[in-house]
Amino acid sequence: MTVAFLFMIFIILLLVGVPIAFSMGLSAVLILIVTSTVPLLVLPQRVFSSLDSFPLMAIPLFILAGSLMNVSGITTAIVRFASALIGHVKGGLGQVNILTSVLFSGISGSAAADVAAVGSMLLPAMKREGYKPEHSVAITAASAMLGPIIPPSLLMVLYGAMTGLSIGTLFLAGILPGLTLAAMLMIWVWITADRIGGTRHPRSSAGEIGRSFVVALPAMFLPVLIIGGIQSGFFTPTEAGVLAVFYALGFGIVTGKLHLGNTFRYFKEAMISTSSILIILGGAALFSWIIAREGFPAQLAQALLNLTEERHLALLLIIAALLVLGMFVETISALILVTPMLAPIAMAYGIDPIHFATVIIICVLLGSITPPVAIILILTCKIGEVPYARAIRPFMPYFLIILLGLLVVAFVPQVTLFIPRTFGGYDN
Amino acid sequence: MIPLRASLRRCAELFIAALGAAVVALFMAMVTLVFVQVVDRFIGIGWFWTEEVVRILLVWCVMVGLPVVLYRHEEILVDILSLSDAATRWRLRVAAVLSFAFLAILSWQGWTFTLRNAEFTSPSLGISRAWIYAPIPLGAALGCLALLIRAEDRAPGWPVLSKKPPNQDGSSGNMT
Repeated sequence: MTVAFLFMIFIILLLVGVPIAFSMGLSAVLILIVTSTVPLLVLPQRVFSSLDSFPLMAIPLFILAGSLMNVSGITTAIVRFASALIGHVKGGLGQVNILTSVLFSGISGSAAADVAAVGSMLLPAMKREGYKPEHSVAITAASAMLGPIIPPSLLMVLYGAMTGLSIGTLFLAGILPGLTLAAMLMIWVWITADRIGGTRHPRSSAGEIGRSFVVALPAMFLPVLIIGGIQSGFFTPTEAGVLAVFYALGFGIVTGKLHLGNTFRYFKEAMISTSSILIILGGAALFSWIIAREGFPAQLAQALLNLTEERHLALLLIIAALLVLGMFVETISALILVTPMLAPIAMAYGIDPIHFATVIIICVLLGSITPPVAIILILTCKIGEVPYARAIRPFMPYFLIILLGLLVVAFVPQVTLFIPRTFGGYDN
Repeated sequence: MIPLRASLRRCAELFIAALGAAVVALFMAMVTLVFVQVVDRFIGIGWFWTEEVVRILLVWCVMVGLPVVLYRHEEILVDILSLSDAATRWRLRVAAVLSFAFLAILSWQGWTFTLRNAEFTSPSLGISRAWIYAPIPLGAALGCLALLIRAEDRAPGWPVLSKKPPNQDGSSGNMT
């Protein structure tokens, strides 16, 4: 009952337009005042303990490293390399767009960063070369999903910090699902190449490919540094984040694109973005505490077990519920909201926690491209100057492909677990 | 919420810029300390306190950054109700009042919590624990102030004069 009231107040506050962080915090405070004698002092205490975490520091670091690399012209270098490599393939710049996202994912941890960097460069280029803008926008928004799946990933850092799972293992787990999705998207672009317009580029010579590879190499070295550093046991994810920032600073100084003024600005923007993300974690702290105190996660798991003991069916139900949630609630908030409730379910069904985490993360991500509120598609439309309503139809096949990719990841655990088991010493 | 004259608006902007600069200073200190921690692992000075300081600084960064986020209307929210212009204006004002109420409670309780812990010292640093909890009431109070002095018509969903329907883009915020 308490939990039902808690959710009701939360949803009303959300609809009024109260920020998600405060909607959670205020509904929890009201419930606490009305239903219990626990002093309100528990509020600052919970807010503090949710933020008091060393791994969370990785979030501003990965945001900063990504934007520093981007301003230093690495995106141009990646696009050149991707176009030299596969610009001649059927689908031309559509394929280049996806490959660029794969490579850019290794330096960015978020879909929005991916759209901003890759979209602002490739959307005008695709328009110039005769690609239909609504199709270009659809490809860009779909391939941006790779950003938080292929490591580093802000969502994985958050999930790891909330559940205590190894962030390094989560990073490894995201690689193969990301590449699988990329391959599926590329096949679709290949099949529908005639519909999206544009022309292929002539095949590049080995020399051109080699030269563009060398220029783009710094981008590809960064994920190797991050993942290699964490896996070798030398660094924690946060320390790897700091090295990534130093690496990006060095790269920016060498390319002459960084000076004191813009460096200051990037530091500030990275931390302010982080603040807007982590305050949700703070606001959610008391909310989750009440939910846990009422025993709701266990009840939820039991209710699901009563409904079905079949783990695949349970996974399907969870996926469906998360997709509906994602239609209305933004990705990070959705993840913060559901993780404490869902993590016990994985245990009840004996689902591998790393596999389950990857499914949940792709699920909430899919929310960011689910109409009506497909925030990532909206953002891409703004950059590509295409009316949102016009992009929805061409986007639907891409949405379905990513959904199919999610089902593959959900029902073939090996896709997630192969790399952590083979290279990460994960033996669950 | 409160309309400011041009000169006061400039003061508000300066104040927010100063908070932003403070956030950058704290963030840079964190980056440096984590780097020191890595170096320390290889040369072994034994500065075991770096991790604790970084964690404290992160809480400071998030809470001091909060008023900047609110002043710039960058808080993450859901915006799916589409009402008339006048109703939307009032809806956003009610949302701001409720946000203010939450931050005021957090600030008040945070202050009490900080005072209660002031006499204890942190184990590895030997400083009063008040330093560790202080960013919560401070950030929440500054957040209240930011809600009061921010220009309400800069909100992404604020109806513009040209009779356009309220922003139907949905939720703002997109660092996913």
